[in-house]
Amino acid sequence: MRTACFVTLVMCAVLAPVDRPALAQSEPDERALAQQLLGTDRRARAAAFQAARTIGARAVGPELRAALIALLERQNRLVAEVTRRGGIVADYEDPEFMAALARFVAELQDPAAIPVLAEAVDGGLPVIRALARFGERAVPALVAVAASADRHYTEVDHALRALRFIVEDPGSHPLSTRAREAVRVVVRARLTGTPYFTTLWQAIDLAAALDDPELMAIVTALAHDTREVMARGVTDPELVRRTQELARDRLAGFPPQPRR
Amino acid sequence: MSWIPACEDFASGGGTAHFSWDELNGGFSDGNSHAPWGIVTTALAGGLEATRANYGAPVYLSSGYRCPHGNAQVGGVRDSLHVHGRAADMFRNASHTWTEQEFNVLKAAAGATNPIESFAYNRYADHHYHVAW
Repeated sequence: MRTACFVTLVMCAVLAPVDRPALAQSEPDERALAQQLLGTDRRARAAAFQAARTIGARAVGPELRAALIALLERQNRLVAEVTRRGGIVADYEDPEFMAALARFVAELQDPAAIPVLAEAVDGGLPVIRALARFGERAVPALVAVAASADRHYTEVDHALRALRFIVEDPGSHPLSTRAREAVRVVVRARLTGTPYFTTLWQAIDLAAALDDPELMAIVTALAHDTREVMARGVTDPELVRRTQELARDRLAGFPPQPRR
Repeated sequence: MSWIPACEDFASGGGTAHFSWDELNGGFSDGNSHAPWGIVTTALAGGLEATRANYGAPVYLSSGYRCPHGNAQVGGVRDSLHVHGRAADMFRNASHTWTEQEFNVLKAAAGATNPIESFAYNRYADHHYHVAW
């Protein structure tokens, strides 16, 4: 019986309907795929995306590459608008599709994608690591998101984490004084305002990575004085406890996770 | 779907310290037609255990591995990481109710474990937390 179930399962997986790439049998027409990606037919869009993945991130041409980035930008705008209205994203777009698109755009390693990747919060660590690999080139876009008063906390947290990865390992060239100062200023603002608690946590992690005396003094105050945490708008006792534990861990030299 | 599993990807048991095989390979509204067979990657198993350790409290899965049929029934995207045995949907408790703050404490716990997908509170109407490794 188990064998029969197993065979059925494998056949189900193998024979599942497949979104065939538009022109998968021969040279794909990237212009057509680009149009399908940005069109209104979702099945065609899904098929075009699958075809792009089959081509591979390093091999897609400029037109298809631009369409992928434009689609991600469009989806970022949708998420921002739905979030602003207090809606549910899945009512308009499949979050898993958006995340897969963000990861694929990250794989393009295209500097033109930096601004949209800085807003693509659902792509997880692959997107953040891709941003970090750009090093200083990604700092202005990330600082802009992290500093904005209009951004949702998920976007700010995403940007702060990417900045931490860059500070921890800027690649072959150390961060310029100017870039480091821009990061320091935004972290200070997030540590001293009334951020959402997850943003405060990301700011503590980034402050530890910067190891700046003024920022570490703020982290020290947060670690040892409950009133300092509550002054940031974090009043739930459990969140206060977790915030102070995090701050103490960073002061003790325990590195934030995940690592780049 | 671009990914076709191999026979060795499937298992018929092997939960983790805090997540039973039925949780990792269950949650289907119309039953699990392929029980006990399913795909649970070591990344998913490890990510869930690490998340629970960071969180410091039990978490409840509403969906783990999904076969293509089960995934289609819940309206999942065709190449969902649930089908790859890499994704889980979670809640803080069995009643599947929580606040945005409670959601984000768990999300932060998972965020430290290298997830490749980690969705925000307003992605789904029931506010489950979708995460994949």
